[in-house]
Amino acid sequence: MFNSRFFTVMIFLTFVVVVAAVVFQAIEMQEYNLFQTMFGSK
Amino acid sequence: MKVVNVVLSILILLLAITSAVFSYFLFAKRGQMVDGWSKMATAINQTATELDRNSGTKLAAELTPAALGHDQYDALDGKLAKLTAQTKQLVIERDALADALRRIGSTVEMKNLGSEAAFRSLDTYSTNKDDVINGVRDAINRRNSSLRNLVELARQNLKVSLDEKALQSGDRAAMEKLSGALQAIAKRRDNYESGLRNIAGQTGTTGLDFAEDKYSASTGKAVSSVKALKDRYNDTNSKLTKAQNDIKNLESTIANRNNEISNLKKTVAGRDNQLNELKRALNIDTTQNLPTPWKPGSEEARRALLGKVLEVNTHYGYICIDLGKDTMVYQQIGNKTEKVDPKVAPGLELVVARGNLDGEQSDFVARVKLEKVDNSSSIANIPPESLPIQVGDIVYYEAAK
Repeated sequence: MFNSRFFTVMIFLTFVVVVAAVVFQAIEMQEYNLFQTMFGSK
Repeated sequence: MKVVNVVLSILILLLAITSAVFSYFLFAKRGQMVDGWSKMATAINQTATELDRNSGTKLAAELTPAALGHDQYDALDGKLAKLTAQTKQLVIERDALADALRRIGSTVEMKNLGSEAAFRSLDTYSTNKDDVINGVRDAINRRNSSLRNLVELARQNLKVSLDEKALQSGDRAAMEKLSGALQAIAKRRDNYESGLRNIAGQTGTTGLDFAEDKYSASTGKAVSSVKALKDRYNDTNSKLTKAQNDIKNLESTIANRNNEISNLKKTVAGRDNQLNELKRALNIDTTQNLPTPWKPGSEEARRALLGKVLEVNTHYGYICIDLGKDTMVYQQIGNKTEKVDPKVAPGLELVVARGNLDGEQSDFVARVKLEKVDNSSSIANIPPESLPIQVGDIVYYEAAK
């Protein structure tokens, strides 16, 4: 099952969706300057 | 294929972890933002409450924290617009009040009045407001002080009692009392001026001008003219007294003269009687006037002269006439004949005529002047270019024409 093309496609699509989600979250983080907060607290 | 799947799975896991971390931070931020929204809503409500205080509005009831919550986002624009509108209205009201306060300060003629911005600015409005209040108070005090002084002056100088309180409140009747007193004074002054002009006119002085700068000179002029008239009156009075005294003296004199005349009349009457007696003695009618006796040397006496030429000497040019110093003429007064001396003297001019003087036939011969007069004769030169004089020619005196 893990070698099937279907699984690959599903994984890829999941990857894309997760990337999109991370990207949107990153944009929101940038808007609220949370990266500075995050890296500044570190 | 399997490798790709594994790689993709690992990447997905990493991305999921990243997403979880991002979610954590975003969740915290969301909490902050919700709290902040709530704080903002509360602050807006408090602001609205302060704006409503003594404004007669009820905006705070609309802009409650609940009504402004993040879950009421759709109605937010409408509600916030009301807050902006009310704030603008309050700013307009503040500006109007600041301008009104400034105009009040200008009306009471305050010095060093602040600018419009100073009355609106939060930092300086209080100081300027206090300045205006103090300025108005000072103005009222000055007004009251002036009114007090006016009331006192009216009482002292015009004997008019004014109500200070009524004047402070602007009572027209109180001021009309003062106005009436001043009008009475003005009327009295006009009467005085008219009277002075009349008096001066009676004394012959005209053109008096009672303007402020000429008042003193004009009253002095009027006084001077009355003084001059008084002096003339006194002078006339003394002359009149003197004249009355003179009249008394003259009356006394007249009385004396009348007595004298009376006495003289008696004397004249006596003399008239004497004259009449004399006339009767002289055989003159008493109704006729007594002839006036000729005086010696008078014209009448000389006219009675009548002589003759005794001698004519043509060689030496003289004639001799029978008139001399002792020659007399006779005046008939009544039945008496009065002898009068005609005073034949050198220089007497005589006329030589020929013929009968009693008749109409007598011819003029010459006019001669006596040069030498003896007792009974006299000598006269023969005038040149005269008719020949003959012995026996008549010589008489002719009065000068």
